[in-house]
Amino acid sequence: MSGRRILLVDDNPENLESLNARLRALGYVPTVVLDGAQAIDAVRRAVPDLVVLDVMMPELNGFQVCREIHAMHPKLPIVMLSSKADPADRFWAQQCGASAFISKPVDPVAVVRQIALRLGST
Amino acid sequence: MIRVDATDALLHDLRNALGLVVGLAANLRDGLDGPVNDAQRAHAQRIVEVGVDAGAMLERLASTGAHTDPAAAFDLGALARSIVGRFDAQTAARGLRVTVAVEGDDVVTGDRLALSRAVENLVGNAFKYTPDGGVVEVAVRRVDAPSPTVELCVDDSGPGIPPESREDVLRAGARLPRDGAIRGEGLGLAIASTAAAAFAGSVSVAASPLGGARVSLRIPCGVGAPYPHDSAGKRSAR
Repeated sequence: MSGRRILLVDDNPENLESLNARLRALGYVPTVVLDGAQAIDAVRRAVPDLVVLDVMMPELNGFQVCREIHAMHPKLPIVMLSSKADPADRFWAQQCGASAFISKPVDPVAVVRQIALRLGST
Repeated sequence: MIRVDATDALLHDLRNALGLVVGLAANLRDGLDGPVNDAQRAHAQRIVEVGVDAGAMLERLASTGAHTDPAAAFDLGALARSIVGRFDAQTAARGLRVTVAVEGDDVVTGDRLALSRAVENLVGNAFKYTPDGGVVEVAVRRVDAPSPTVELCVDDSGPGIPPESREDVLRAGARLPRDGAIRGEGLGLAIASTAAAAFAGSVSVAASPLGGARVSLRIPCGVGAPYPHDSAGKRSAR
């Protein structure tokens, strides 16, 4: 896991505070961006090893961003971390190319486990 | 475009707030912010568990009763042990003697979160009303007659509940006059009773051999039901 680059996307960085700290402690290299456009731009500039993506964001929502990133890099794992838990959201996440959909609140250990799983480093 | 009404927005913000609480508590628990002792770790873990459970409750609120948790089979004894463990710090601080005795590993099926709240209320009541240095005993056993049932009994050495009040205390808001000085809303036994009914079970109150109250929750083995709802699809407030 050491050095694996994780792009964290949420319009409220406070939501990512604990995950960001945990990933750093585990040797990942997380980068935080605050909206969908920045996320797409960041992926265009340098493809990360995995994206953690919020759903509810202004302008481009998480599904739109997921679809765009997935179209650019179909093998790039995208974990959607959402404060919505509607089964329809899970369905749409899958349709948009997300590798996993996790509802908040969640023990971040579970999120890291998903990340490790998607990166093949369990 | 994601459509969001005011309630959705509020629920979204509440889940985000809970997510933050859970995440930071988990980081504390795991020592990411520096060393923690066992008691601090246990408290942080408890915050994580309560936060995640609260998120599940919000989810139910959001669904206005249209969905219930899929029925899941689980071990009532293991659940009881886990819940009593949440009171370890209080047990030590107040010099209580607390035991959990589990016979067998019979499972019940249904809404785990609802039953977890029921058991937590029963155990919490016993702790609340037992004086320092007293005794709380939790027992889970199978009763075969008249039908296979798992029974969870919580006994305490507190003041007990007078025979004439034992049915009343199962109703929401009911409190004994003598309990005025003790914090509470009189909801614990009502919550437990409603949850038990959702499992086609029951809660009853009797005298304990320990001198206080015995509160028994009985659930049919392997049989469960979703949370009760009224005809409008909302959770019943019985």
